[in-house]
Amino acid sequence: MGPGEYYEVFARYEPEEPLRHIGTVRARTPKDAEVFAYTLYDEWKWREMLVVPRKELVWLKKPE
Amino acid sequence: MPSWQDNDRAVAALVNLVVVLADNKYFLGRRISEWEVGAPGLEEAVASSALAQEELGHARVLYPLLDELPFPERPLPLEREGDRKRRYAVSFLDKPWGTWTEAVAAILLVDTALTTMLEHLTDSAWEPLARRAVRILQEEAFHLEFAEGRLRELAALPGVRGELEGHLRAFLPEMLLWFGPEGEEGVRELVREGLIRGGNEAWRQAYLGRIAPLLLEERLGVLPYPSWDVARRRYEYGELPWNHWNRLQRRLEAVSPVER
Repeated sequence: MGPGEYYEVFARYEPEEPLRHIGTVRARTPKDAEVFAYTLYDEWKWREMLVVPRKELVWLKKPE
Repeated sequence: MPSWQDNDRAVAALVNLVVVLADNKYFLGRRISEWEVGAPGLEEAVASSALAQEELGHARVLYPLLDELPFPERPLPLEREGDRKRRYAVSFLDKPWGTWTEAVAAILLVDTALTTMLEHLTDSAWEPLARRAVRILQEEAFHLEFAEGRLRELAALPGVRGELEGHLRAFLPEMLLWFGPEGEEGVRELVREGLIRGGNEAWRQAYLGRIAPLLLEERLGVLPYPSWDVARRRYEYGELPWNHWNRLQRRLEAVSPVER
């Protein structure tokens, strides 16, 4: 089905909570990434949830 | 007691509508669940599992509505496939799908049809049904996105396109029949009592309005039908096999060997 690319998944449960990284999905399109994140990380009724293509992250420091 | 409960024809049509929606949800959930380990990738498998659970959950909240309707010999809710001999689901949900491509074609066509009907029930005069329709639709957006994504993915694979087109061509006529012939008596009663919006042809056109652009965009050879009629601003779909369609169970009957 094609390799797709990695998307990082972030979510928040309570409004005062910081956004936290909850996992990763691999998808061919942003829409697929949304669906896969929604179905894979549905253990909480998240108040907020978003996906970011890994390639868009700007690294200030990377592990050696 | 709401006045529509005195209208026997409306109540009978409502019982049929609820059991048709619930049975299709139930069998769709069962069939999708068979792909929890067979889907091509981990994400697709997990999503299939979530979809199956939600579809079965939708059936689970629809069936109890039957108990609230004053109608004799209501169909029994299903908990296992063999619980009831008479099925009110489309015929291609009867048996496990043979390939992932067949599964995707079926999920897209059936789930979109169910969603189309539920959208016409969100302001039903029967409040318990309206409430459930609204709740189910909140989950359905992701289902349709999943099905659309899988269809686009398969359509991009040269070796699979032909098979995908074959399944879509095989399933689409039954889904178009599923909305019923224009002006069905029971539907007219439901609309008159404010229990549902629209009508047979309006539902079918709403369904085609969702499905056809995707098929056309992906150049899937399900044509010549459905095709857009500019003058009438509607989709044309040619002759449908009404003589093989069971109006009560909303499904195609097997064609007798003589007619093959």
